[in-house]
Order: sequence, then C-alpha cells, then structure tokens
Amino acid sequence: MGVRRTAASVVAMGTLAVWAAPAMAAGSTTNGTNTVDAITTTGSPTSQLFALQVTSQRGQDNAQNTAWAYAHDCTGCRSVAVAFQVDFEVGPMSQSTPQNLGLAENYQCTGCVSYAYAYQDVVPVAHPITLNAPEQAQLNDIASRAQQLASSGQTPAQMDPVFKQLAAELQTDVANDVRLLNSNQAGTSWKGAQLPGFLLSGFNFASADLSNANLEQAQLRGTNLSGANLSGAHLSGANLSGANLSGANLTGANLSGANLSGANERGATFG
Amino acid sequence: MTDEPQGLTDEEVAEQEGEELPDREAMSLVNLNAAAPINAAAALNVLSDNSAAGASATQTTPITQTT
Repeated sequence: MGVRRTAASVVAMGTLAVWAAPAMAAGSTTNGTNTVDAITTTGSPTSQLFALQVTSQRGQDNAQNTAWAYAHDCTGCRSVAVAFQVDFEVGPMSQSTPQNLGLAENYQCTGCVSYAYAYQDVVPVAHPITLNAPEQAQLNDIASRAQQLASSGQTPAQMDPVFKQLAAELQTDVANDVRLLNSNQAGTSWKGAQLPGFLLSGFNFASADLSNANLEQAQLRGTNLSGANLSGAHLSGANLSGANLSGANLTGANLSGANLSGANERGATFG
Repeated sequence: MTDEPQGLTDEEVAEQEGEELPDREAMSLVNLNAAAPINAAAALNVLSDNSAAGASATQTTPITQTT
C-alpha cells in the first residue's frame, strides 16, 4: 500500500489504546464507523477530506470516529483529515464505549502539513430520531463549510479553532433537533436559535423567548406564539397562517413575505 | 422484669455519620452498566523538516472530553 508504519507511529497508536487499523482507502463510512484517511506522498501530494456521519446505536454503543492525516516521503505534501460523527444512543444502553480519535503524522517529509480533527457528539435519546429535511439541510451546510475549510490551504493552527466552531455549531443544531421532538415549548428559550425552514406547525411556543431567532421560511401554521418574545426574529417567508400571536412582542422582527392570514395578532407589538 | 429498650441519646445520634442520597431523578439516569468513551489525538513529525502536524479530538457525551 506504500504506507509505512514507523516505530514512532506505532508507539503513538499504542497510546490511542484502541485505534482501529485505518483502511488504506480514502475513507469509509458504515453504520457506526466513520473513518477519514488523508494519505499523501510524492506523486499524490494533496488529500483534504471531510466526512460527517449520523448514526444510531442501540443496546451497545461501539461507534468509532477516526481522522488520520499522514504525509510520507514527500516534499510539500498536504494531508487534512476531518471526521464529524453524531452518535445517537437510542433507549437504554448496557454499554457505551464510543471512540473518537485523531492522528496526524509527517514521516520523512520536508515542508509537509498534516492535520487531523475528530469530533464525536454522543447524544442519548429515548426514541429513534430521523432528521427532517430542514434539519438535514443544516448538517449539510456545516459539512459544506467544513469541506471548504479543509481545502482552504490554511495551516493547522488556523484551521483548528474554526473546525471547533463548526463542531460546536453542529452540537447546538443537534441539541435543538432533539429538543424539538417535544412540540410543547411553552416558556422555553430559543433566543438566537437557527431554525430556518423548520417544521413547527401546531407547536406551543406560548411565552417562549424566540428573540433574534432565525425562523425564515419556517412552517408555523396554527402555532401558539401568544405572549412569545419574537423581537428581532427573522420571520421572512414564514408561514404563520392561523398562528396565535396575541400579546406577542414582534418589535424589530422581519416579517417580509410572511403569511399572516388568519393569525390572531390581538395585543401583539409591532415596530 | 426486663429492661425497656433504650433509644439513642441526642449525643449518640450526633455522632453518626451519613450522607444524603442524590435525588431520585438523578439516580434514575444512571442506566449504564459500562460507560467508557475514548477520546484521543496525537500529532507527530518523524524524520521531517519544516513540516507542521496538528491533531485535535473533541467528544461531547454525558462525559465530555477534549484533547
């Protein structure tokens, strides 16, 4: 395969305890296993790979997420491997041993760059989760930006904080998706939440804090928003037909193109 | 005639050591027999000049880990 394991790398892998031997292919994603291998050498000097996997584990969680960046016998090679994994642990678990590993190595290289980042979000849930289209679109957007960053030519020091920001964004989005499994959100806080295009028809957001939330194109038909704080919210293109907006604070909200037919706006504050 | 059983004195009660149990809700969340998430990262430059290697791993679980 043209990939030599040095004594140092073997030692390093030993410290990773259960590092599964990475496949020599560019990467693989199967149920519960997300592996990204970016391997470069003379003649194949650039590999910049990203993969995001959403997996559900039941009973025992042995999910693996690995990023391996390896440049060898090369001058000026660049290997970037980034692996994101969302690991839903569904129902009671008898064992939870998810693994998240990142390894970057330059071997016999001059002027090479190798960077690996692995992010694993383990989320216990009571019931199986299927992300709907708007939720999936959020993850796709994060994946797109991550792939662009991996291919940006930036140094590891430059990329690392940005990848961690993307990971934090992914965590927030997934946490919101899980929270919205419950349609009763009365009195909860969604301040500044990113919910574009989300399917929230019939939800109860009475007295909830949705200030500065992004609800563009969201489906809010018949949603109870009475007394909710929607100040500064982005509601352009949202469908609010039949929604209850009585007593809601819509100061500074962007309602351009929103459908308010049949909405109860009694006592609502606009401005 | 037998002696009446005696209860603990206030002093004896005060000498007892104890700890409050956690809330029932907190105990009920512990439903794992084994939770051992693994999170690790390593970066190496071996026999390499003017090269940069960087690796990070972040894991968010009920037990959050970052390296």
